Amino acid sequence: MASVQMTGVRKSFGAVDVIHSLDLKIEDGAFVALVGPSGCGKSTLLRMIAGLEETTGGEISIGSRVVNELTPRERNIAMVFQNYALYPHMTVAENMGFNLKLAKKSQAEIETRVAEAARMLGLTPLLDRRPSQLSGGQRQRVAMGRAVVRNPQVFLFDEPLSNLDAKLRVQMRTEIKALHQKVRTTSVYVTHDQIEAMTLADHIVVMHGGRIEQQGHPMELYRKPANLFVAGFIGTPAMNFVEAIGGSDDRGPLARLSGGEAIRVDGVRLEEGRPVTLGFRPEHLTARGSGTRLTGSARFVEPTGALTHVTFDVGGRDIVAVVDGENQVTAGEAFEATVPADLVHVFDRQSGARLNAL
Amino acid sequence: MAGFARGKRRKLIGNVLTYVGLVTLFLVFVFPLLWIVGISLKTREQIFTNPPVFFWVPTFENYVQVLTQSDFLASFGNSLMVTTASVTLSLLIGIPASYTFARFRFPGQSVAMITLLIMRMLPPVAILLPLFVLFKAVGLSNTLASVIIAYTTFSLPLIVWVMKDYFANLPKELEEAAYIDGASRMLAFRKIVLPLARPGIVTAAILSLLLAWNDFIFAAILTNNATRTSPVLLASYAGGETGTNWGAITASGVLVVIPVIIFSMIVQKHLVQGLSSGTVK
Ligand SMILES: Nc1ncnc2c1ncn2[C@@H]1O[C@H](COP(=O)(O)OP(=O)(O)OP(=O)(O)O)[C@@H](O)[C@H]1O
Ligand SMILES: [Mg+2]
Repeated sequence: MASVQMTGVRKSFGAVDVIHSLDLKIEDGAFVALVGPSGCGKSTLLRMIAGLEETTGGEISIGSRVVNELTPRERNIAMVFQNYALYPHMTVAENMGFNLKLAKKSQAEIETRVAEAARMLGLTPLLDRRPSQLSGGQRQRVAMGRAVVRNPQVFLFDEPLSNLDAKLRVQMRTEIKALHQKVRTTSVYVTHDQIEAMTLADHIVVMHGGRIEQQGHPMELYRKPANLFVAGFIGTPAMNFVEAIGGSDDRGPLARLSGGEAIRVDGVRLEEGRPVTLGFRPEHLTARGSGTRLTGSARFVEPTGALTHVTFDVGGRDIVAVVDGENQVTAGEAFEATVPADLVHVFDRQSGARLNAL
Repeated sequence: MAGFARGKRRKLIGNVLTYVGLVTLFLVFVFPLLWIVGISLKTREQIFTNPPVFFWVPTFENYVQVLTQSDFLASFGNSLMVTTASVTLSLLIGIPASYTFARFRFPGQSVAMITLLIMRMLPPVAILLPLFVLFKAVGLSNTLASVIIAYTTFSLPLIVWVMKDYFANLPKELEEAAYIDGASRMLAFRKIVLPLARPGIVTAAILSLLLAWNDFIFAAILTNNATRTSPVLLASYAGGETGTNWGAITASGVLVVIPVIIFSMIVQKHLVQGLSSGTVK
């Protein structure tokens, strides 16, 4: 177990800069989720921690050691590859035990540990198969198993559950969480799945174009996104954004939409006429309660069971609200909801930076 | 149902074509071999009977003759020696070389690859004559070593071109996974790359083996009576004061083919393709 620290880390492939001077400290024993759109450099960053990719600049330390010049072997990290990378000429058991074998563990120990990992991953009946005889999801679990049989300094996971069906994914998520609570090994986990990031991690790092947009506790990112990008990236369904002009009246700050409606905001001073973008989460729109009332006609109604997503039209803008599934909402009929002032996020329209107090 | 019937007819036509092809191949490739085996089991008189006899009591006198009276065993030994040595040497140099070509970028790489290809495309004589002069200069004339070097020179380009693609097509992540699992570069090469490249290695080995074992022209020029290989000896049975000794030629021909057949049978199961399927999604 060890902390991972990156200072001023850069990576270029030839003339293309992929990671731009990135600083990140991952505490010993932490579970960090790395999220961001495709191509933002998540895999590259993992590979740099693993030692598979040279760092163009900056410093990476694992524990108290600077590892820039160390081989993957010397770093003692386990990694689950985005595309599995299973050894085709070895059985599932041999794939999972390869590290232990190289580490010269006894045959008995290898068997015990492989059997235990296989049980956790539901691979016990498949131990004698070759990778080519497995389904995609099974392969992914073997890739996972290859990492969890080990006792490394750091776990690196590159979208390890992306190919599993919904049920298995939830089950594996729980297993990973349980494993981490048991062994407390520092883990860096790349995922596209927000729920996965929110539920597993105690620290989320949002990347975009090779930079960190924001990092922090999942709830902190959810409650106080630092900019438009994070606001739009965290949370499903995505936050509603509307363009408005800042102002105030005797009761405090507000922002006016182009149709004239004024939305009351909180925790921010807005000079008259400042262009801003307002954001509010669909789940924060309530049928009753204090705040600005938005009215329009329901355009789409999407029941998901416990909750229903309603897209309604406010002065030509589509706004999504999440309401209780028992509510009767019909497409085409009038719909109204209120936005509490303290749940409206105000961003500078130019820079995208958050204007409410952090 | 019409579609089904038509499918069935098409399948039948396919089968017929397959068998026609197989029979043709058999006639083209196997029949001459059988004919040679036949001749080697005949007496001198039977060989020249016209029309040829199709049923006779086989005799091994030709085999006895080449195995006892001539230099067959010596040349056979030479052939084994130069083939084994040149195949081993070619693989020992060629495999690491092609791996380097496949996995690393270095200046002059494409020039080097093209040069290798050009060398292979030159007529053998163009390489042979300079080699002959060279070996004479360094005192290697008429030695087995000179033939071994010549064969290695000639089969290396072949190996590099075959193997480079093979290595390049192995997913790089497999080696990376091995590094993560604690393997050194060397160990990852031995435990992951080599086993997966086995079909390629076998192909390369067969190519360079055939080149060395079947070669006549290099050996004819670079060896003398003591160091000549089987093909050179076989050629010497032709002509001569007693006329062409068909019995000896065919018998030694059969004997020379046997090792190749044995080798092919041993390695063919390693030629199975698609070994790396299912590794990366
Ligand atoms: N070997 C390489 N040579 C050149 N460019 C590369 C190389 N590897 C990655 N890149 C580029 O670096 C950027 C980041 O790639 P990376 O694989 O880290 O993205 P990612 O965040 O993992 O995306 P995804 O979510 O799709 O897996 C991409 O624009 C990619 O094209
Ligand atoms: Mg990736």
